[in-house]
Amino acid sequence: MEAIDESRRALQKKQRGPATAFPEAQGDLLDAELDPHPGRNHAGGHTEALIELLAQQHPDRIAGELVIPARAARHADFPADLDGRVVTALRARGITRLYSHQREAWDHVAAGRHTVVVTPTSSGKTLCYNLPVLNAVCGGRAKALYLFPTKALAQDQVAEILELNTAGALGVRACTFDGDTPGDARRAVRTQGDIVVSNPDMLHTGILPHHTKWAQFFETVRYVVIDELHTYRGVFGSHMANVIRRLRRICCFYDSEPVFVFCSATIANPGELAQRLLGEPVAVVAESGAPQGKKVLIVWNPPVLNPELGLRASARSQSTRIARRAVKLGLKTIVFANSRLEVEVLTKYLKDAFDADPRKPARVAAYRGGYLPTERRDKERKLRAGSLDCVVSTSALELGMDIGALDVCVLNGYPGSVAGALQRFGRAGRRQRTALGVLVASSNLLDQYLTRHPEFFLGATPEHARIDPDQLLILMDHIRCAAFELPFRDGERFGGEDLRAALDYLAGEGVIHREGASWHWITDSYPANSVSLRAVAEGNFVVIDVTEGRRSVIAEVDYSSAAVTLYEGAIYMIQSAPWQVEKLDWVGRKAYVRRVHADYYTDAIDYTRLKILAEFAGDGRKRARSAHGEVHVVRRVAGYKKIRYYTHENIGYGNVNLPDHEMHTTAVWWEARPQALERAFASREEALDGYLGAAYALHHIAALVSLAEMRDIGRAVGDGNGEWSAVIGTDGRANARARDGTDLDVSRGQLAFRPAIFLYDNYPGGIGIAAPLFDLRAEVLDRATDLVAHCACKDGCPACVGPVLPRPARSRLSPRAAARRVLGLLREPSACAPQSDSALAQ
Amino acid sequence: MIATELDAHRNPKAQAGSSTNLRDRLLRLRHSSGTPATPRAGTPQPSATDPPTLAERIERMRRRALDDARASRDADLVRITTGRWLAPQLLEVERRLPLHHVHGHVRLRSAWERAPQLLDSLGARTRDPERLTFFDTETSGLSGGTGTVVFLVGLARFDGDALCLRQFLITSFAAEAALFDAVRSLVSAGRCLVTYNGKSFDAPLVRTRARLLRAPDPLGEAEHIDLLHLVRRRYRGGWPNCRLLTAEERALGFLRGDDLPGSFVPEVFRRFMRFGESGPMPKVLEHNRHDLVSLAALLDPLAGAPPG
Repeated sequence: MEAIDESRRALQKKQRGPATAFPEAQGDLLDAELDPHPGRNHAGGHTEALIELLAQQHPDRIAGELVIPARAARHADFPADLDGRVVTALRARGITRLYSHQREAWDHVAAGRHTVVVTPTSSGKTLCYNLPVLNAVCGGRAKALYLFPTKALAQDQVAEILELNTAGALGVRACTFDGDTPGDARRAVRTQGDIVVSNPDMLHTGILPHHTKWAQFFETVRYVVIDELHTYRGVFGSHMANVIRRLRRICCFYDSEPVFVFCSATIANPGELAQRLLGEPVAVVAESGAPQGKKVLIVWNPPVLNPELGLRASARSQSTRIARRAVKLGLKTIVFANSRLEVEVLTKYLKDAFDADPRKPARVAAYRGGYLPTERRDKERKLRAGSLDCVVSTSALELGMDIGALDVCVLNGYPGSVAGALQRFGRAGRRQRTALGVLVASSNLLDQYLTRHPEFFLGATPEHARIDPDQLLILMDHIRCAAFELPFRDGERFGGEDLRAALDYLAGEGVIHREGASWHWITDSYPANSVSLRAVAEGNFVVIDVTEGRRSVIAEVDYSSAAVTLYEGAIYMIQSAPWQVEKLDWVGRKAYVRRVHADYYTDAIDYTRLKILAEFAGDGRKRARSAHGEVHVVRRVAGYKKIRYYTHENIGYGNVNLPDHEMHTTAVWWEARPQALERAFASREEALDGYLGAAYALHHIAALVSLAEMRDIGRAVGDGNGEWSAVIGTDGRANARARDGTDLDVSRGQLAFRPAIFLYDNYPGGIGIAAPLFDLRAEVLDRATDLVAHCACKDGCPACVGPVLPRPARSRLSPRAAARRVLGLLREPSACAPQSDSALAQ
Repeated sequence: MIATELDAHRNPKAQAGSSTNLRDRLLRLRHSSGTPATPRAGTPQPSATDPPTLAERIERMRRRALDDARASRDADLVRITTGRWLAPQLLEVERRLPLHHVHGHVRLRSAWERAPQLLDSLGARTRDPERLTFFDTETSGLSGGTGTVVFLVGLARFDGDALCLRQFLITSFAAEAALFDAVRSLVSAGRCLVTYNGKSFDAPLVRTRARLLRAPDPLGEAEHIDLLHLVRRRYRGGWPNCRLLTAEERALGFLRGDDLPGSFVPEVFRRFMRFGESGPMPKVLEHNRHDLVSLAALLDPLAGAPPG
């Protein structure tokens, strides 16, 4: 079937494509052996050759292209007050002057201003903070705290400082302090470390609650450096803001007031994010002075195999081909995949091509979390030295590990955020040569949306990172931790809520005790241990493979999706390989799975009932209205269906016995006025089809515009009163479920039929996604409308309104047409076009 | 709370109106994140919604009531512990045990006599048993960290023909500084601390709490012998564990009987602070005295030749 489709496509292509094409059915041109042009052996030539090849052979697959011209370096002199020893160290490393952004950062920091530096990967960002820090440390009794989101980055940083230290005989002691630091070394780090390099989790559980042991350090800490700022968003960022509040409270106790220096990859609002994290104004350095070679970014869409189902050739095959071609042209290449398994598969394909001879050193390597640190260090070293030609990685290499510069970066699928994609693309980029970044789109909605709107991506308006430091549950967690660290005094402030009320609450619980003007911790507990910075309250579930007596953790599933993916009997898929859940330990947060061969997958039957508690703001129009506010969400998994692959027949049911998942959170919602809805649709079932399809599209677009992961946002369609909710039934069409889980006949007149689409913050209490989504409601609706209107499929597909089963009858409006109609209603006044829709439906 | 939840569901507007109350919001969120809300037993309601003047009056009344309760609680305490006030809210309890006292099967005099031999074998700076200070604390928790309160410090030393035990108990956080002053005056230079796991637990905690008060280190530069390390070296392998209880049983033949288990101590302190329950406090003092006497008695078996 593939061959037929391919040749048909090739035929179409021949009518308008370049005349040089070989018959596509015989294989992709990218696979054809093609030696690099001998005359193109100059700098950048090979990359240019690859770009030319891609553009000539497959112009139809290039959905968008962006050329970023080369940029010359802008230099600045060393500051006059820079310590001579630091100058010596820099000169020894071949640095004789600074880039303009490094100098700009120095000037801000020297003036005592908190600063955020936002410049591309390998633009010499670390020197922006190392310079002022080393200068202060070797000049006196100043100390500095560096925080990186991962341990590996921390070790990388220490190695870099030590090199400078040796080069200039600076006598600076830089050490990591994390879970791996041996007990006997900890004391030395505490008392003698000049630069302590750690991570937020360690600061939170290991340093702040023991700050008295760090007294010498805190008395003299003058700089706090927080790198990879963009990772501190959402829940993690909200926690981080509170850890920073606690850190500054402790510093204040020791009469120190450190200057904060942040570094970030490209996001839309680095200054705002840094300011939210710190709670104070932050100076922004955003103009890089580092030279940059020409850079070409391409969005690549695999060819369509089955237009009915919207199926395309897999991203994996295309990524492999592009990477193979690049390596054959002698280009250093990195391939990013979105899962560990995908990394392994891609590595295998590429190794099959390049590492067939075991006597030769490997040219291809995989890099991902889960490998031993030594192995990762080894790969990094080989990458820096240029002895590896290709590395396949997860997001592990997205962060600032030093691996040198590469020529080509291939993203196997959209990583979920523009900032993440740009960060990965940053790995390709040479000072003198052309670099290429290719985003190979998968068949997911967001990927396909980007192929139609590459400007969204290539126009490089990265997302806004959002945090909510005063999210009540998170704030209370940290008020506990702070109360443990240092008794609160009356009149003290911590965060934006009424601290006195919070302390009264904790006193009421018997956690703290008020005496005079102080609030003392009196409980036998260590609060930091029960607060994970990476989640709200509940922990992740680990998936444990018990096949053949193994006991290895193969995946982690966040709490909110555990109930719908890890119920007993569920087929849990990792890259389409099936495991079956044998036992779910809900309290212990573990799922035990066994590898199986199944010709079916399971789909949870879950109802999300949602009740509006309070409306914060609304926007009412003639035919529709939207609003945002506080909601109560009840999610129940009642059972599951077994669905056979390809035929999609329902081959059985199973029961699930899990507790309801309830939460209060914030949401944004849309609804059409009842009369307008009745007029627009012949039947209520069709209207529900439309609502569900529109919700699917809106959900994806909302994640896209709000720098959220899909799972950060939940979606539901229902009456907003907790009475009924809409779900896709076994026949693939929408129907309504009542409170008790029974089917509800919506066609009867007695039911008040006011469905609404809800997108809610998928964390108890919300983390500040809903309110900005309400502000962006017009954009979200416009983009979703556009998405559904211009999809390449016929009746609907996973790239627009969600998976659609083959149509049982032509009597009902197609899900895609129904969704268009709903979106048209919600999007009034301009673009409502029921006439053209009904033509489609007939 | 359940009733409130249901009402809220039935009437969104009522819920919206009260959403400014932090306690209610928290209860709702806690409920939603699956964390059981802790019942608030007998605590006063927050006065946040009252007009300020009334709040002030209530606060004043509350304070007065608290002061009264504290006074009567402290009077009780003096009576049942037969202690005396060394400073405001700092109670001192003193006991003298004659050296012919037998602890388990060890006579204290024997420990006293063999101490020089042990000190010698350890290369300690002193050989004089009278320079030893047996030291043990009771705390609000076992996890360590700055939020762990040292509320009772027991010190013992050989003094003539007796072991002299002095215990200092705070009944208010305000007395912490005075507590550490008292400790400092007894652990003056030239003395040698003897503890059980004190190097990792008691000493760092005392230093931490003093540091929080910006007070000088109560333990100064005193020499420190941690008997846990000696016990480990000597008995590891032979015993199921090296906890003090085990050492007492196996090396001293001492059984605690109905002694308050150490794990109950934090709760006694919390209830004392919170509700003024002083009843179980004498048991805590007794528990601490057992610890101190065991420390002294352990010198005897530890000084002898290793078993086997």
